[in-house]
Amino acid sequence: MVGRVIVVTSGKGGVGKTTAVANIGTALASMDKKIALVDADIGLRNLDVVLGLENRIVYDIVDVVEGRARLRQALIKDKRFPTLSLLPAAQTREKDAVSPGDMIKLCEELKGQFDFIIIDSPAGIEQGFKNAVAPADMALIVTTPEVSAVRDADRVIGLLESMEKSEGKLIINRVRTRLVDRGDMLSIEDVLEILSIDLIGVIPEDENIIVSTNKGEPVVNNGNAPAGKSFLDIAKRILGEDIPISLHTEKESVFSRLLRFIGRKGE
Amino acid sequence: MSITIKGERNYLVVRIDKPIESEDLDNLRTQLIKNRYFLSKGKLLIKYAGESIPLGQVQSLINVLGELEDVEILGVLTETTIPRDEGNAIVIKRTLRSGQSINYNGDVIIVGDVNPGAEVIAEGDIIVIGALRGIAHAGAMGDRDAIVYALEFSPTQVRIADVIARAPEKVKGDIVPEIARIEENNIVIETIIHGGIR
Repeated sequence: MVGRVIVVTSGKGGVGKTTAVANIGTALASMDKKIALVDADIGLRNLDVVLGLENRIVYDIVDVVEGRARLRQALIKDKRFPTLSLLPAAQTREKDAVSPGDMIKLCEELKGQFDFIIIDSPAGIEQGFKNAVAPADMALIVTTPEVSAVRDADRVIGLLESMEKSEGKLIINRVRTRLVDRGDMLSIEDVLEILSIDLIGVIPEDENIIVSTNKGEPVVNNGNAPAGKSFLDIAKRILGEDIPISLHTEKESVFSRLLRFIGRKGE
Repeated sequence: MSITIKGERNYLVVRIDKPIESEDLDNLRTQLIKNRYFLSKGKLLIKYAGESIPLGQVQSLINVLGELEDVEILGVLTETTIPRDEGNAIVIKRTLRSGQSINYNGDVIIVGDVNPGAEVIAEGDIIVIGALRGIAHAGAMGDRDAIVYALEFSPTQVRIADVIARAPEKVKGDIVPEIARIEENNIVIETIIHGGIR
């Protein structure tokens, strides 16, 4: 088995990297792929919390790198998805506890056992980012339709290009159709015009994400969540399926539509 | 005199244009001591005109300045200016992304976009066959005849020689090639209908 290494990165913080890693990983695992999720955000780990695996951590990535634990011991198997494992970050250390060389070595070992290794990159473009990106074959760049996030994504794409990481794909997260329609938010086209890279998925703003993050249950488990459906689509596209990109939206009830209609009349 | 002093916003620039004569150093010392108040900002940046100045002289200048009280030397820079060569141009066939910059001592032609957060600095003209959304500085060494041209002209800022302009707020949809040049100390931006750039 030779797995592919995918890094999820963004430059700006808070755009949904960790959510994307958790959900794309879970989606791929639900399709019976063997998945290792690697949290490279040493010192500010989150991925374990979002996955609801926090209380099962014994060893972490720094323990493996420094030889205190073997990789097998540090990998946490998710009981809900037998093919999903997490390599957690250390919380009490800093980014320089791991080097890009360490990450490459680690991923080489993981590649033999998993179909996909998905790395959650920290925000920023410093050491942590360099660690996360070093072993990657493919990069998923997450942005939101905001000028600042797009600017940072552009910077990161430039850095990836200069490192000759050829395959970069874009995820646009937290899109609010109503704001876009009103011209108050950048549209998908606006974002693509600046970033000019391939789009692999668009995720709508979805309250289910907040609920699922707090519960530690990825939103792809929730068949009704628009964001969950969108992450499933991305997973399928990673596997090579040709699914046209569309924005999933929540079905609006007649009542809320009526309310909106009345509201608009009043404007 | 081979040494001149000029005040910048937060520091003084001590510039060596020609090899230093020994009396220049004495003059400089008396001048600095006399103008202590002027100096009280205390921060100095030394610039010297490249290889024509022997390094020993730069060193002795640093020594003279270092002896003075309340003086901090911020740094020493060489200013090697390569004269603008007509027809010296570089072609860049990619998009400049945020954080990337091009600095060239001639004309710069970019086949691609210049994104917000990217900058192009040229001693000559800047021509963007694409969208200019970042910063462009043409005639960076003082050539006021330099121009900036782009197929889609919506830069964050345009500078030509020592003149700076912000791009006007644009209504979306009217994408036409435009050109910026200096006219009477202002940067003017014109639409290109047809014909050449000049």
